[in-house]
Amino acid sequence: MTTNRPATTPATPRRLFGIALTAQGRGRALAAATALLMLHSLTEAAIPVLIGVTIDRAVLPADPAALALWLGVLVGVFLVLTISYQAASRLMVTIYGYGEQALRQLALSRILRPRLSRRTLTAGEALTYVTSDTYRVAGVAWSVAQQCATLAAIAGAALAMLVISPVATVVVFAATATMMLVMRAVSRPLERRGHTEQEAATEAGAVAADFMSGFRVLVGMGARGEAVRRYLAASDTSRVAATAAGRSLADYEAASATLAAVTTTALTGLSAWLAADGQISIGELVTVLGLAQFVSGSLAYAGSFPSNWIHKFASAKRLTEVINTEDLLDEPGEGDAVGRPQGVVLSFRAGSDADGDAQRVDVRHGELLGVRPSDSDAARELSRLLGLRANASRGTVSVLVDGAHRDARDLDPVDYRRRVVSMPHRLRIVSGTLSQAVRGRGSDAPPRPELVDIAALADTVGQVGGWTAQVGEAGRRLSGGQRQRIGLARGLHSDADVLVLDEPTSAVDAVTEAHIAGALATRAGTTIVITTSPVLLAACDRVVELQTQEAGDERG
Amino acid sequence: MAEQTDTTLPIATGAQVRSVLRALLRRHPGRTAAVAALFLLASALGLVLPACLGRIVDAVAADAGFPTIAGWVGGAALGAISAAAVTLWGMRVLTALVQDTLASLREDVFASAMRLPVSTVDDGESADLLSRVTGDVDAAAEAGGNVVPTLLSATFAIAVSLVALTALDPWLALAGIACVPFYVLGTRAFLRRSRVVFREVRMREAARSQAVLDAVEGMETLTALNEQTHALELVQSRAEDSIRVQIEGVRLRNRLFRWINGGELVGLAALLATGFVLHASGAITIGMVTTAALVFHRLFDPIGQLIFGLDDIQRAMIGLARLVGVIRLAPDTAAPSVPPAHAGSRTGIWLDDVAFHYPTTGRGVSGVSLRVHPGTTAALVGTSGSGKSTLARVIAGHHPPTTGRVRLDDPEAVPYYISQELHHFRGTVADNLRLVAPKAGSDQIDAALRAVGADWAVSADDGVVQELDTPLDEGRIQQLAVARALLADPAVVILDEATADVGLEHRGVVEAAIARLRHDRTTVLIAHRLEQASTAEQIVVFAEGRATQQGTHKELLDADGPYRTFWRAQSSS
Repeated sequence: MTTNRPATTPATPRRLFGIALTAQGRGRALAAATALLMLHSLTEAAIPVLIGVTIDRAVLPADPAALALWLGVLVGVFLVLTISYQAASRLMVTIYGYGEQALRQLALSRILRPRLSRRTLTAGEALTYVTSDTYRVAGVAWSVAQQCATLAAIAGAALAMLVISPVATVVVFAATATMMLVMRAVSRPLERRGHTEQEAATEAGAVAADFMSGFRVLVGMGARGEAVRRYLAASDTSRVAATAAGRSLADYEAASATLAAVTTTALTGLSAWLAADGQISIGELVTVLGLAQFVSGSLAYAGSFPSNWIHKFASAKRLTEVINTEDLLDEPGEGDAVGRPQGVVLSFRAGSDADGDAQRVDVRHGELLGVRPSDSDAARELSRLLGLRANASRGTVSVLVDGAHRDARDLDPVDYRRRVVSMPHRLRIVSGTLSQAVRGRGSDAPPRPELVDIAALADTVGQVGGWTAQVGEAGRRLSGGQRQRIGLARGLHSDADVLVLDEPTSAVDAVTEAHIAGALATRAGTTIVITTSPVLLAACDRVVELQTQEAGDERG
Repeated sequence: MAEQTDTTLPIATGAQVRSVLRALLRRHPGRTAAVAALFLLASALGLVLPACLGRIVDAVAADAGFPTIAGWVGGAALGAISAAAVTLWGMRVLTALVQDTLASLREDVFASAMRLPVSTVDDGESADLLSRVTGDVDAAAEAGGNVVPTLLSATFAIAVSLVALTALDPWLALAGIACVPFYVLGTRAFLRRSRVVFREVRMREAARSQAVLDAVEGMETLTALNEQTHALELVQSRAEDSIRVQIEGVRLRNRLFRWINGGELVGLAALLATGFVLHASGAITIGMVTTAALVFHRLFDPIGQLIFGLDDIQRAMIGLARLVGVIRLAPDTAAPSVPPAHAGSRTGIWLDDVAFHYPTTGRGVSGVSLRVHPGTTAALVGTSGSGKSTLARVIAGHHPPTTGRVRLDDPEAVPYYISQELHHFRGTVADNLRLVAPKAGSDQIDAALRAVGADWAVSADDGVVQELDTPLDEGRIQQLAVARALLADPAVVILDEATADVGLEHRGVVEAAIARLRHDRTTVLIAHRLEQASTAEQIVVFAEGRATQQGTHKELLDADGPYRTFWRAQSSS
């Protein structure tokens, strides 16, 4: 699996664009799609030319045979136009879809790498990378194909004008270049306001969502009026930003339309003068006029190319940073086995005593060890350390592997976490069935009744509607206590040598807690519970006080 | 965009949506008229260019000389540039109009949602409501911001062009109309399937996003259980499903393109052939044929936009129907304002033979009579399902009693209700507290926080901490809820298992805060732990929806009854 491999070659924006454009045989499909879209653009450009030719050769001399001929050509051109576009869009959806997926998978696998990243991302940040940024970078396929097609249409029109006058060709190319330069400048305020608009709209939506989710709490404290007042303020900010952004867009479009109008007029004046001078025929004049009208649309689109690439490049750069960030955990070392007393399966150093030294805790096979943390931060920290979800320096954690104690730094993190499962306090439950929430997505086996009993889940199964009932997004349909017990059951099903639980009963009632404590005490496996609960601690075979220097209180 | 069907919240009809939209636009009659006039003018000016081009052709054919030709070239330039200018003006007015209308709409929807009776908003409905005030509002904004301007200018362009063709020669307009059957047939076939196909596309995309979200938010859990690969595989398979239905969507669009291109071909060919006949018979000039062909060619883009826009409009109407449904559901009263602080006033509670039953399950309470004296606490105890929470909600005013009466000595007083439902609102701690007292100064907030032991939320030098970098845990959220109640200073407070979800590590602090809140205040307290109840002036024991025992802690312990049994069971564990 790619997740286990370190990134040997660092990612660059170029490589990411390469993945979107050419990997997995996309190169050939993209070349075909681009060629088809260029063909489509050229046939579009051919239509005004055909109008001119038909008027010149058939309408002007009133020649019915010529009319039949040129209308026949028109039919042929339309056939090519429609078939080429349909084939291209059919190809593009596959190229874009799989390109986006390849990038998303790469970014996500790097974010989820077992050796962890040195850069900690919040869920929101990570989500931006694996959705918005991959979406933009993958869109490069559309950019290449459509921009090639547009430029082909402009070039085709310009070359068609070459027959009439080289000056007209020069006007078209000069207009294209001017359009790109000017529109890039005009688009800056547009982008800035678009960004502000997006933020304001998101904020207003978030305010609404927040108050709706807390609806009953708001009702309880009689604060619905204040909630409405706050939403109105957020909505108004959003309205102002959206109006500004919409007006910027109108300005942008007006600038682009004016530039196009100037180009069209220049071409019209030039060809009218040539026609009046007798250098070109009436039909050629009509052709140029039709082309001029057609080219102005393509010119407006070409004006957006520079900013399009600037955005894609910025997203690609952000993605490379996430992908290239170094691992938090080093490659497994080759250290010697560590000496630990007989019967110890795990040993760790944590907290600090009066001298600032960490105390060593040896965990014996089959025991239920209680660890009383000084506060909840210390509990979370220990849970992360024992789960190797934080950087453990050499000599901090060692585990029994095939009869010998090995330092955690000498083990592959995946291998270590297979032996020691340390459940996070705030467990994220998978969105799916209750059975999947308890067994994980990797297993199709039904939950084991004895483990379900330890976690006091039996009544929940009935309340939720059986093992195949959906638990909602991240278990939202469940109460906090139900989610916590599912987390416990999930850990119990992991078959680890050592199971580490962090405040596993903080959200359950006293009777259930007593049941869980008793069941854990009689369980055969090795378990560490990090908890301040007197009920749980009383059930433990042994309790260790986790001292921290600043909070080295004398409780217990 | 959520498209749940399993909801009891109403969805408005098309007529109701249109009447709400009309009412919203009627708030801005001047601007609505201005938009229509400006768009009409812009479309008309858009025709100056092809008209001038036709004149140029005629002038060249008639050897009219440079000044005439130059005049028409100048006219073309003026027409095109003034069309751009008027379009700009129209768009600026339209943008403001659309955004004002959208803002009014979403504000009406939110205010209506907030006015809904609590009993309407149960679990299923709250998810639906949430998706309406967020997803459907976004969809309406999307349609309003992008689709409306495009559709409006496309419609005007088409109408004005038809008028122009008719002005040239009615036969030309008739020839142009030859394309219409193609568009109608193609669009009907498209819209029939598009709703199904694009709904599937959105559902698959949402499922994929959900898998991504699960993976990203569950990073720590996945790492702990070595499950990263499973999460990646799920994203992969859902992405592939999504791509498959997107291909289906492209096929559907492609079929529509065949019809559109067919219509363009037939219209253009008919126009050229008609122009041929009319020109041969001397009815029109060659320049007029040119103008007609160019005007029709210019319509290719607007027609495409109009047809694809119909799909967006269809979707937006579904969203609007859901939004208007919320507006129509809400009672026509003003949003409840912040109840006045009791400021030392004291009020007791009278319950006179109160009964309430949930219409769906039939469970509830009956025959409850109770007097809570001002400044005292009544504790309701009993097993879960015994009806004590139901009674608390009836006293809080969330459910009107089926029979009997709930009366407060001070009819102005509104009970303040804290349940085990925890919610930390967005924003700072101060923002959270000011929900009940918008004008509270930072010294008052500071005092409320310190009173409940939430010293962690108060910075040493300047009062209140503005931003907390870690998400708050349940205990701290509940501490803030109690601080908020102190700040609100209500005459009556109802505490419904307010410590149930609070972790053991915080229970002591929160219970101390609650004790502080109860002090000298009329309180109804529901506690699953009896130590809390034991301090109340009177205790009511519930079983199967009825009050079975009533008295002080001491009296009830002396009596042989359920309370003594509970107490002994809990003390021994």
